[in-house]
Amino acid sequence: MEDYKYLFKIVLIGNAGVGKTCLVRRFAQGVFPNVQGATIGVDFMIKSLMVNDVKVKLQIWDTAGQERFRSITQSYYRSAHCLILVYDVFSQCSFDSLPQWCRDIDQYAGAAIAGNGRNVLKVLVGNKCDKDREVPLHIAEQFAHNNNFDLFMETSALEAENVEKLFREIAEILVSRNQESNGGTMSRSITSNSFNQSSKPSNCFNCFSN
Amino acid sequence: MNHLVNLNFPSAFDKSKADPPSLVAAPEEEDSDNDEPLLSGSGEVSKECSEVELQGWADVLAKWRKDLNQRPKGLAELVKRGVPEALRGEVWQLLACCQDDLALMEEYRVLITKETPFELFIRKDTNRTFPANEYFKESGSSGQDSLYRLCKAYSIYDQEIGYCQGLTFITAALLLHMPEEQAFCLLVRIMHQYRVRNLFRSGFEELQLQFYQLERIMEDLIPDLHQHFVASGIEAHMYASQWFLTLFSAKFPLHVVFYILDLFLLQGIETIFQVAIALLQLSRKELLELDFEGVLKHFRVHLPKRYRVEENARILLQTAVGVKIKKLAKYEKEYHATRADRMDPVERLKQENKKLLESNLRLEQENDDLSHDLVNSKLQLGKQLEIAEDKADCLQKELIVTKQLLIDVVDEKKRLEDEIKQVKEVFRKATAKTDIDIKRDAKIIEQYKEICSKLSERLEQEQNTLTEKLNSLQLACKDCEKCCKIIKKCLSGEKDQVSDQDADITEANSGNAEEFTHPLAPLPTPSGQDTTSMESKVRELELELAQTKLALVETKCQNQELIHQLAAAQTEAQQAKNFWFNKTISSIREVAKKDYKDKSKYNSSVPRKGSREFPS
Repeated sequence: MEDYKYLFKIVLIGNAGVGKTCLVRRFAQGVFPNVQGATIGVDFMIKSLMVNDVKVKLQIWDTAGQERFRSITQSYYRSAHCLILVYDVFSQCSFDSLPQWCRDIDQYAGAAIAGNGRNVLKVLVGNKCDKDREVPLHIAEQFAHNNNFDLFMETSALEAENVEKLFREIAEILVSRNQESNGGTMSRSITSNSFNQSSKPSNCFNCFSN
Repeated sequence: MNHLVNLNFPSAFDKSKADPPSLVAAPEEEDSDNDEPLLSGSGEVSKECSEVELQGWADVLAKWRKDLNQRPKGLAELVKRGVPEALRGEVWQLLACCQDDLALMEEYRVLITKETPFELFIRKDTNRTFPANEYFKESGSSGQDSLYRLCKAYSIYDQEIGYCQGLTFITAALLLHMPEEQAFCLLVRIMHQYRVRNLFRSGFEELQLQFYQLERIMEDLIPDLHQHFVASGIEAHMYASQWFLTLFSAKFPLHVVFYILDLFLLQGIETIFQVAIALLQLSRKELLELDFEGVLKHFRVHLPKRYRVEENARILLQTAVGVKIKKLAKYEKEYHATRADRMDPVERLKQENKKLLESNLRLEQENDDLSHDLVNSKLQLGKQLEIAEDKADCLQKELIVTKQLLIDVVDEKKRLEDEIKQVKEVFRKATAKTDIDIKRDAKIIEQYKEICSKLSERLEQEQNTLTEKLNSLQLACKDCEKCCKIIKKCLSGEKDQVSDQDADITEANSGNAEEFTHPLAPLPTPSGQDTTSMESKVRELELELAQTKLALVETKCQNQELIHQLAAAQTEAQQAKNFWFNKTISSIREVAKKDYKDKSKYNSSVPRKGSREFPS
């Protein structure tokens, strides 16, 4: 077992082909795959980083983007500490799908977390900002504000722009939130992973109330 | 190793106490801790195949082609060893019973011309399917185009599923072995008959069931690993989604993908469980030592890589074949029961309601489709009926016209027949008349000849008597000098002048009448009279001859006119352009010709005869 203080689960969602997997791989492995096959179901990656001299482990779940896979991926929302909703700044279509994704987040993540008096960290990311844009920055910012996103950022997995920063900020927010509510203690029970749809709300959220 | 008791490994392994065969280390696995997962569609597929094996396949295929519905004996054994790469295209289609589905191929050609709402997704995914394979590598390559068309066609063909991510991988594997149309037919078989489409339906419900079944089978067959997974919080959906949804085609090297497809097409969905269990068994030792993250990373990165070695792939195949999958049905029931138990009754009813609504919607859709079809076919039939009626009208009109034409033609025929009769009659009469004329002419000529011969006889007689008389006169006049002289003179003179001499003699005689009685005195008058009468008779006869000739010419003219008439009648008959009339006419013509020939023979022979005998 590694020595870490916090383990946070982050789930990436968003339309197919917006670059979720590339974003994760850029962050976790420092590479940009030229050709990244479609994610079927879910993929999983891990990355540790230091936040204020505290070792934090990020467990990143990368999900399939196609709408029909939501019934599988939704089960991952529930135990997530952070949901990163990704769109493609080059694709208006991917931006137009965001409201539907937000409804999903509210339905599947909101309810589970509301019971603990705390919302999941919602992050909006406009990827592929190295390309010409179809979605203006201020529109996206407005959308993030209106839909109560905790964080909004434009990134480029290709040019590694803002990727490290994105996850670092997420880690920092999660750490600070956790320290506020728990006085700095975090149970190891968080490593127990249960995503089965039929399971009770994940025990990792019980730990928030500890 | 008690947990392996249930496994039935191939004969090479001891059934009861066998450890799974150990795998060969893949070259890059050892020397680097490379996190880079394998690209889809990687690896070369060996085309080598032993001669013995090929012979075995040749025998089986020969039997199979004779009776496509009956899988030949020994086939399963061969497939379980892996189908030779060169034969895969055909064997896969034979296994799925979809060779030469011409109707479906035709439908495919229509489907690719239609539009799909999934266009963008399919484009995106075809660009990133099997990037490690030469055929699909380049964007805009024929491989990617084919893949795009196939997925598009399927999304339209199966509206309920449409396009689902993951399909491109199976489809690409098929496309590497057969042309588009055939690959489409096979894809349709895999989705429907092999029930893969059920995995994608209604929120992947059946996939969830299969995850449950897999975990239960794992519990039976590899209990310690199952225990380890439960303790680490690893659930089947975290690693097995793409195994099941792509039939292992998304992450594994191609030779493994093809081996698994060989088996899958032979045995069906059970193969997925066998391979999944075999993969877990073969990685059991490592997995037991890994934690949550390690296990998932192993599944994502190391597991596919280790099967790049052909030998390992064969071991996987053999292990999978040996796995006995049991109690699938039991676990299915269990799954549904536990689900129902755990669910809030309201929730359950809601779900049931949702399901019912969905099926209702589907049925309504089907109903709509059917009624649409019905209306369409009615319209089409109506149109066809109209066309047929129009055609019938046309034909009716044509029939009437034709009938009228027939009547006209029959009339014409009658008229022509009458005409022919008349012409025949005219000919007959003309022939008869000509016959009579010829007979009469012949008679006249006969008489004429007779008269001529009589005349010449008489002429001879007269000459003889005259000669006699002259002789007697000479004798009588011997005594008279004067007379002698005259006579001598006369006799020495030209015979032409006989009559003149006679006249002179007469004069002399008359002058000498007083001196002596002239023996010839009473005679001169009758002889002169005789000649003139004969001359007049000859002239008369000549006249008659001329008249006869004239009549002959007239008859000839008449004859010609008749021939002319015949020719006219023939032209008329030809104009009628009716072959049976022609026939009749030609037969008539023949008869007429014969007649004419006879006649003309007659006509031409008579005058020639005459001219020869009477050179006038």
